[in-house]
Amino acid sequence: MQNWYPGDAQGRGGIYNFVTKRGDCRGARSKISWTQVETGSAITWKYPSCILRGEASRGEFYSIAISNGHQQVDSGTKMIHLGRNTTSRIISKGVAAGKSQNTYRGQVSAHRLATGARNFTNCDSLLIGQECGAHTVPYIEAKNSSAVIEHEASTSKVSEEQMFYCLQRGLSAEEATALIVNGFVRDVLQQLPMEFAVEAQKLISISLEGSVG
Amino acid sequence: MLEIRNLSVSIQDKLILDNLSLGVNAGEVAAIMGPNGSGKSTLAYVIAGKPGYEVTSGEILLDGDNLLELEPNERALRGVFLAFQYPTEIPGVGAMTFLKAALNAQRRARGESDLTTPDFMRRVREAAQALKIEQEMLRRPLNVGFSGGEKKRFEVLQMALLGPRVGVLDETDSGLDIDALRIVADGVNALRDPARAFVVITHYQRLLDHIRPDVVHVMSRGRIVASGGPELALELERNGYRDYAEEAA
Amino acid sequence: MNAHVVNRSAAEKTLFRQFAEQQAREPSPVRAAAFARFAEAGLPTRRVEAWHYTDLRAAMADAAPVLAAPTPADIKAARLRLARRERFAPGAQLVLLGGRYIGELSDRLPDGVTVTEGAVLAVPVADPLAALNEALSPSGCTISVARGAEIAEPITILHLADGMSDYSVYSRSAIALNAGARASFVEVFEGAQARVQRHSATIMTLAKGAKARHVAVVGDEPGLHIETHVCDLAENAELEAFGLISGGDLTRRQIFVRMTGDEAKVSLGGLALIDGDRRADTTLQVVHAAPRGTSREFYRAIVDDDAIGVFQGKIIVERAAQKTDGAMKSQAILLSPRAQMNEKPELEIFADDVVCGHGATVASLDPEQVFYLRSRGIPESDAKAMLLEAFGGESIDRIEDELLIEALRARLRAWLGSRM
Repeated sequence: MQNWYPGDAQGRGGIYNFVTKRGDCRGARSKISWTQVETGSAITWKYPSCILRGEASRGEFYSIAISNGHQQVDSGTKMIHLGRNTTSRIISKGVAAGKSQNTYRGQVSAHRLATGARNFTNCDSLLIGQECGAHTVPYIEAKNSSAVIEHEASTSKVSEEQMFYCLQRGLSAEEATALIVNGFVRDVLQQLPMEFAVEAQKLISISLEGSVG
Repeated sequence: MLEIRNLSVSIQDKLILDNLSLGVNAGEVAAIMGPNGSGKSTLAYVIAGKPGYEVTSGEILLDGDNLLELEPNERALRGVFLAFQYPTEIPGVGAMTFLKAALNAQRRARGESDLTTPDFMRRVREAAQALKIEQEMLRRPLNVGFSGGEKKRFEVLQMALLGPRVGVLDETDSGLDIDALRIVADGVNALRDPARAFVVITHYQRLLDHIRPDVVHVMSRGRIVASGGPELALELERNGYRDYAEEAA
Repeated sequence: MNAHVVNRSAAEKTLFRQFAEQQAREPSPVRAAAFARFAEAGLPTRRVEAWHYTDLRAAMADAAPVLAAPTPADIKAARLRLARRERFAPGAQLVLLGGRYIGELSDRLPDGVTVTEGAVLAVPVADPLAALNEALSPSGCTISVARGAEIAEPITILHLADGMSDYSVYSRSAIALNAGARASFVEVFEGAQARVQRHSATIMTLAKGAKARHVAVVGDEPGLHIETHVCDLAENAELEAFGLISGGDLTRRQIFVRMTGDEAKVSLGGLALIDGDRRADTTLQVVHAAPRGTSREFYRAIVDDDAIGVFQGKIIVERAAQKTDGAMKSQAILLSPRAQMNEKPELEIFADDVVCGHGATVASLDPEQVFYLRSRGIPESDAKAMLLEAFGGESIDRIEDELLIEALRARLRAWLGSRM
């Protein structure tokens, strides 16, 4: 969970967060699961990766990236399938608010010997406000006919109907947004241990403060 | 208690409510009947403050305060509850999470502390039992995958928990079979209270067999064109809306 | 202008020489500016995002000599070939020989359609190969459809090559539909063999309320086929485009669509049938620049043997383009253990009130489907052919023209038949 200083109201002085993380699944049926909640820093470039060598090894990447103010997040993963029957799963939820830019960038490759490799990727982006941007840049490289790679992505805004429904029940616009955003990222929150999930939820609410008028 | 005065509402320059006036007293159940397109649902949405409707004149007073000056959530905290005709699906948001958030928002507005989890669970369980709502249903995301009857029961459950000043039921009978209709109606009847008012919007008489209204208003072309006792609903059932539609023209 | 580029490839050096020779014959500042843009970038490599999976600099050993204008003898020979040739689609046909419009080989156009020669047309996109096309193409032709004209039969633009020698051929055409016009265009590429390098650009402009269909058929066997298709849509304009690739060593179709006016509608599709050691790259850039636009992109590929397929699709939603509705889907089937498919579907979104999505899949034929058909008594190869025809056919069937669907499906069946 990363919540470094994102800078002042103009985005000045924030941390630059450039990270390399790589995992190597060497043994049969070995598994690496990356889960990240990125809410801080002025600029984040982060691509935790899995090299799946061992037979039937598995890589997972679960990500929540929230950007507000002038933050720029460019994050995702690499799943390099080298071994037979390797599997990977990518769930990425990006939320862009304020004047921020939020990018998912990821690579899934299935190599010659990765017979039976499987990947499922789901990247959803949510936009809050009219001055932010959400971008999705997946690289899908299949060099094995028995590999099955599935990728889906969507971008939308918080719907007016959902917002109104919550407001009608007495929530403020800010509470309603936090509630809807927490719902949006739930698939990933569920991957976190309970204590972390609670913290993450709070962090998300704080990160979005001031994002709705 | 609820006083609507000379309300005119347009959507994209099309006049939907035309100088409509309506008063509902505390303890009263007021039925609003009318043909499709008469503006019934618009009235419900405008009371609750749905964006996209242009109020060109008039006011809606609840206990003397003009609701039109309030945000939708502020209206809810004052006690306006709209049971939606088509409850919105919100994937990913658990029904329980949502209930808790709504209840606590109300408590905070009253300066009370948040409910403890056991207290919250107990209240929901009691209310759910009365409406024959399975616990399993409450574990699902909000309104997602709910049947028509489940959605309507969940609306009434929310109303029971939030205890509004005025409950606006927008076509709550639509899409319900007779058993579900009875459960929903019993749920509403249990909430009848001398301090609380209901506005029951419906196209058909049959809901009113179960929720007995004190007054019946007939709406046509954006106005109330007739008012009377429960017998008016029976007359409409026999003769249809034709007479009133012409009268409004 | 290119001091920072140290090593020019052999092909680049040839292109520089070819351009200098052309400028010596007929100087043109417009072409010089275009060539400067090409020279700045050079032939693209993997490091250029839009060319990430097609390293043209590495693939292009050299640039073949630029083809001269056809002689009367060439035109006469072409006339004989055209007489024997079966047409892909009904309707009037315009013939481009050696990249030049040849009126005497072309049909009379229906009322409401005119063709004018001579203009040097800009290729208004930032791409090195589009710039190269602008620099080296002979002056192109413009096909205009009059305001409100509805042209029933498709108009075919036949890019005819002769198969005898090494050459590179450049061509550039513009298609302009005036307000409310409706017309269908088919570009057929024919006759090239492996020593031909072909560079083609088509620039479409759709005025308010115009509706166009564009179908490209790449079925011959050039060594290199680089096709740039640019389309700009005004308010309420609609474009339906489809591309079939079933030949060529290295094929690149790059499609740039810009929805400049409100409520424009775009439906793009394509099918790539790639076998042997061919490479086929389809790259899209769809820009939503105005509110309430709709775009649909639906691409499929069947990749066999040692072939490599590429699909890159980028949907850009600019800040002004509220209420955009965009959906892109690309799907590929790999038939051989050595076949490859690379996909890069991108969303770049700067407006908040949008619904956009993309899906991409790569897989083999579904064994359960093959088994089901076989369990009903159908031989395995037939079962696979049926499934592949269904898979490819679904992309073709989205075109709203029965005759073109049939003609394209016939090509698909022929391709499947030649391999089974």
